[in-house]
Amino acid sequence: MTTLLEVKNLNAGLGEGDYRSLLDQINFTVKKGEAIAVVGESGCGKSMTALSIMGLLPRNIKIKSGEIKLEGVELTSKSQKEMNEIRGKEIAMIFQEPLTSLNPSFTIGNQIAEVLKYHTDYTAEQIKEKSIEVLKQVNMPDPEEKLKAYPHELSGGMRQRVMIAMALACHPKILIADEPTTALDVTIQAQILELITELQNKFNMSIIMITHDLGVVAETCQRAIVMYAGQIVEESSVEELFEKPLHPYTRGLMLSAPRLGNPKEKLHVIEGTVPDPDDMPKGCRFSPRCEFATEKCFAEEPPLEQVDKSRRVRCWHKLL
Amino acid sequence: MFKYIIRRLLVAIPTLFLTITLIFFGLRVLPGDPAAAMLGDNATESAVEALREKMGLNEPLWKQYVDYLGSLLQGDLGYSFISNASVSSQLFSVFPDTLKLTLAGIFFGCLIGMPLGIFSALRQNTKTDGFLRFISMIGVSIPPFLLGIYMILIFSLKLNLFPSNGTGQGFIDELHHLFLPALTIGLILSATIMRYTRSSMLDEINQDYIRTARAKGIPERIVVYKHVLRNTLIPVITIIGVQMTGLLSGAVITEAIFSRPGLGSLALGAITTRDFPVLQGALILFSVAVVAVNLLVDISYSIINPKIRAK
Repeated sequence: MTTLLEVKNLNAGLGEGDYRSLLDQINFTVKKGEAIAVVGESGCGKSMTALSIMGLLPRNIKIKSGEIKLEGVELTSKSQKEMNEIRGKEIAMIFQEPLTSLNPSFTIGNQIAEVLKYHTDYTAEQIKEKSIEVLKQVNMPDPEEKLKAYPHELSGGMRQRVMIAMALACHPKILIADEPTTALDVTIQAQILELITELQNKFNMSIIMITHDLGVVAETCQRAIVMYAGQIVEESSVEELFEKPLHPYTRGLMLSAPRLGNPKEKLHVIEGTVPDPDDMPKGCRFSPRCEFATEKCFAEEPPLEQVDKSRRVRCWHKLL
Repeated sequence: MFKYIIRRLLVAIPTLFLTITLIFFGLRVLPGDPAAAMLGDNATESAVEALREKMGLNEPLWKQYVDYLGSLLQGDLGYSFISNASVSSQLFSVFPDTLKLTLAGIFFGCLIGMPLGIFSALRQNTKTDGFLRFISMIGVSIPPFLLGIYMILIFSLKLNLFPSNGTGQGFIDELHHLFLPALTIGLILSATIMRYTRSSMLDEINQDYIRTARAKGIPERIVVYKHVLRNTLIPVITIIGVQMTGLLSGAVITEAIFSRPGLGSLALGAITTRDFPVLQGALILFSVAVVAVNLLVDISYSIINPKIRAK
């Protein structure tokens, strides 16, 4: 498989004078047609990574150094205007909150048509046909009628389908899905994930699935990147990751997910919270919360080490 | 939409009826005798009494009220105690002037206030933003009579560009006369409109759907002028509505400075002379205006936000 997206030594953070790091040396690649997961707690930098790729970081957060290359073309040096050619066309993104992610004042048809209007040369007639076609692709009942509907007339699951339809309208090479199922009912979650996977296979599209839900990872992705406090702490194929997590944080995440069949089992808790960017611990960033931490962990920051061909981990005491 | 408007109009009827009743009785409890006021300090008691009889002021209050409602339903607002002219003709001779001034003032207010609000919001927390907010603070605080006087000093006396008083004749001349007073109102109004536009825009710009719009890769100007602005308008329209009702009834000071006739000055005159019919008529016209403006505001809400339409 060819490499589609390459993120290399990406550093981003708040402020300029007293710079506070939010993303530290992020390195990963996404291959064509591959689905990777970016996993971690809230505030670990998952969404920031996604927004850096999209060029949509909040105004106060800046990319300090590093490269983001889409098919070899550098994105970080592009202007917002140039990025508009890429966003929605080459890379599309869907968000966590389908309820608030669509503009309440415009019809579904209008909002889907917008993507096509600015990225293709279609006539109004063709745009309408294409809009109906993408709504059909996301299994929307009565697509023609739905074009005239306003967001408040649709359920959360339906709105997420509209978001996906909008994202897919121009056949992007990569779909970034930022917690696409978190706000939905469990049954709807499964449908949406199934839909994403189905469309991924159909269009040979790559997916970056941002999630804190390991169930989602297992179901949809081939590879996973675990992030903690703005760093990648582990990267592995999903299979290996579930079989044998190498980083204590990954292990902790897995133990804290409830399992069926053992109702009396007490859930594992990772004590403490993700550190504040103003107050990063010295040494390993996970050390204050790690049950395996030793003196070395508090003093020296471990590097992200290549363990074998497809595995990387950032820990002095890998759980080998 | 049509049904919605009809429903709102029906709801307005009891509101107006209640207001008219309150106005009628409210004026009757005011101290002071219109007959005595008309005849002056030297009038004899019997002359005042004779006039009260003639004006119907000696009838029981309920009868006066019923008679008043009766004639009101026939479109008769009564006759001025002072000039004997019909109240409706007096009102309608000045109402167009007030309406023109109000609309022109709001036009200037929006023309200046909204772009500045948008501009300021897009440069949030920069020096430009700070400067514009400072200027708008002055705009909110400055009394209209002061600004009016400055306008006359600068544009009429110094530069001799615009007339300082009257309404003018013929379309062009009227516009020429309207410009300064409308700009005075507009400048003051624009400060409020700017502040509302700015803060409402900042609320909007951080909404999830704005991020979606950006993620679609549509040009920034479409994001701002289509997605952000539309929803920004709701609080701005609310404040324009409030200001408009205020202006329709109370642009008295601006009217006085520029020596323009208007509803405000008419009502003020009627109060000092205890001219009940004229005052009643003016107040009723104000209430109709308030109801009408609120209806317009509600209709624009429903045009902007389909969710409101559904309710």
